[in-house]
Amino acid sequence: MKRETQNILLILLGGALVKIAANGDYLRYVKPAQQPWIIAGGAVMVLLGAVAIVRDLVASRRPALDDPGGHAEYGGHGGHAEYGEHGGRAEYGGHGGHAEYGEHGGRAEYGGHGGHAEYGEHGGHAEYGGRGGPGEHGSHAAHGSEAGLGGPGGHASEVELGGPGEHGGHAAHRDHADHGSPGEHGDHSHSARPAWLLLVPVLAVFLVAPPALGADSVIRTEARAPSSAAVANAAAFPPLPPGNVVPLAVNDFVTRAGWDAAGTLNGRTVSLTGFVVHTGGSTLLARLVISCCAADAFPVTVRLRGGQADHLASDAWIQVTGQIVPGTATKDNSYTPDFTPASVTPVPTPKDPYEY
Amino acid sequence: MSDGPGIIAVVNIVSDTEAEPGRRTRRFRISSVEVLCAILLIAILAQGWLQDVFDVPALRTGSTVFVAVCVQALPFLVLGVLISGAIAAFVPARVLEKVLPRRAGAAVGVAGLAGVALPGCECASVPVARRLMGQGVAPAAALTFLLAAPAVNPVVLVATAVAFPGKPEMVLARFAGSLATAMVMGWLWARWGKLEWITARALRRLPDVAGGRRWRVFAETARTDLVEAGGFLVLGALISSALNVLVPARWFGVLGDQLVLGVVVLAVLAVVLALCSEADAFVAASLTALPLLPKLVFLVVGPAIDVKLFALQAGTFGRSFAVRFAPATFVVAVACALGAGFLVGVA
Repeated sequence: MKRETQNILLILLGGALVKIAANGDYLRYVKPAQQPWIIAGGAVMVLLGAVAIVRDLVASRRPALDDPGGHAEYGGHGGHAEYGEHGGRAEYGGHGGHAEYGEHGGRAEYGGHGGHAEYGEHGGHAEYGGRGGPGEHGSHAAHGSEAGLGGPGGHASEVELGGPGEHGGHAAHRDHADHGSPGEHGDHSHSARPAWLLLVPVLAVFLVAPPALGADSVIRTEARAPSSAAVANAAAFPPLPPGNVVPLAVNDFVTRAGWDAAGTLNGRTVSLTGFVVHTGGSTLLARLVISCCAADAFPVTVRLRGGQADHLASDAWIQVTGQIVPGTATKDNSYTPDFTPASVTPVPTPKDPYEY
Repeated sequence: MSDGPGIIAVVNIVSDTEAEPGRRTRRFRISSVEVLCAILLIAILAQGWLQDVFDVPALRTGSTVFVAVCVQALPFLVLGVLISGAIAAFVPARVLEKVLPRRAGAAVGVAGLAGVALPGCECASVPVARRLMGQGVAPAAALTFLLAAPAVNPVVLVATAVAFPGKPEMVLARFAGSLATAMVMGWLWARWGKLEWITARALRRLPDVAGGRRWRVFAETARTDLVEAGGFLVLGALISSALNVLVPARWFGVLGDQLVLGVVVLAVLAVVLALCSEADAFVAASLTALPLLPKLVFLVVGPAIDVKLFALQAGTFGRSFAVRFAPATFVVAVACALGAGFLVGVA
């Protein structure tokens, strides 16, 4: 993959992150505390991509770096030839490859077709770094690693201190040699090919925009119980605040229903907000609780006894007011208390669909 | 030099086809930029169709989990590549050599404790470990850091304490198990590890850079690391979201009294779910049907090795490294978790 393409992908992906963090969609995927992280991460990605593009543009306008004696020709074709310093020459950064650090009299030539010839340093001489490149024609190609990566004759990595003047030098460790016949492209952009996968989240965010987890996820993970409840003890439950109808988080409600020996819920009218799940012949009001991101979501559920929720579609958001049926949340039903709703009101999907 | 002629032949072929781009009159060739534009165009035109395809419950859940893992992990990966870039640009290799003990065994100990002090997500620690290796830190020590940083830092330990209130032994056992895993793996590597398993790319040492160029090297190193590791992170997220949907729900529930089966299943779950180390304690706590020991295994294995990390390691250090290191880590992590569990008295 070319450098430009990588940079464009970075900008797209960073842009996608910033976008969902700014418009609130990120709440479908992670908890609110992540917002500054996502914005910062996305911004850095955009910045890294943009800086590289600008620098490549500047470099292509002004091919020779003004280092003493330095000489960088044809940064070229997506590649870049950098730091040809101290009399070094970096020529033909080449098709997507890059020839870097031709330092100290070193020459990095033909960074080449997707491969990269780096670090031809200390008088080293890394030629034909790229696809098809036979490693080094290398005198003293210290760290001429990955020259000719994947090229026919292969991946002459770690060509250290190659013998003077020899074709191929003394390839100290010739890893994966002879994979493939001459002319085969081999692995020539080995390090960059998985970078195409960066496009997947970009497309997912911009085009598919997956919704928050809902009924399907609840049914999939039914067997799990609310975590906070697992270890709660009665002392942790203060009485409910006064009032005719007490709004409660579903997680809080279920926890009290399962573990509150003092029965602070009994006889009190509460209101809960969640979505409808139809499973196994009963209707549940559910909410998903996440601690980091949607991958670790677990459901908290309340079984609705009667009421119009039976006729609503799965995933419809409702607010119910009513009372608990005491003693119905047990280990056998994964701590799903029964609830007698006095009223069921459809509500719009909240911006913040999870509990934390 | 038996392969000399082959190499010459290769050179000829290359120059016949497309070498020397600058000297040749340029032909139009389809490059990755055009491919990218084409994919984007097709995807935009097919948006309606795409959305219909993803309107199946299982795919919807899977795609949400996929985006969630990406959105959760990418900022940490960015943090990791920034640290990696900073090490490359601002920390000369000789400084690291001076700071760390010369003997690999002792360096492993230092690296393990450094992991305690540096809160990092597992995604962040992979590029950092790779850069440490490149800058001359003994691979054993860098790998210990890789395993320790996400597992034993204060953020993770506090999260564990919150998820298991009234059970401080879980925090202690997790700390001991994870630190032991990291150090044992470091020592195993120092004893039996072979450098050629690691791809040469990861070991490449950057030349020390002079003042004026540092920011350029910083940006360029971070950018390259991000592109390389990012793709593999996405791959890991794809696998883990697929498994998240495919793993049958009853795996979580019915294991109640079968301790051995519970340990095995939760160790595997830790690998396939690929949770963030700050969140896994809450998931473990939600599996109420299980005793504490399998949960401890889940907490120790998860940050050490999971599908997301495996993809990242394969991409960063090479496949022949990952296929050896990952299974070894899995076994060592399970053993260390069980050992720590029995010692601390988690039952």
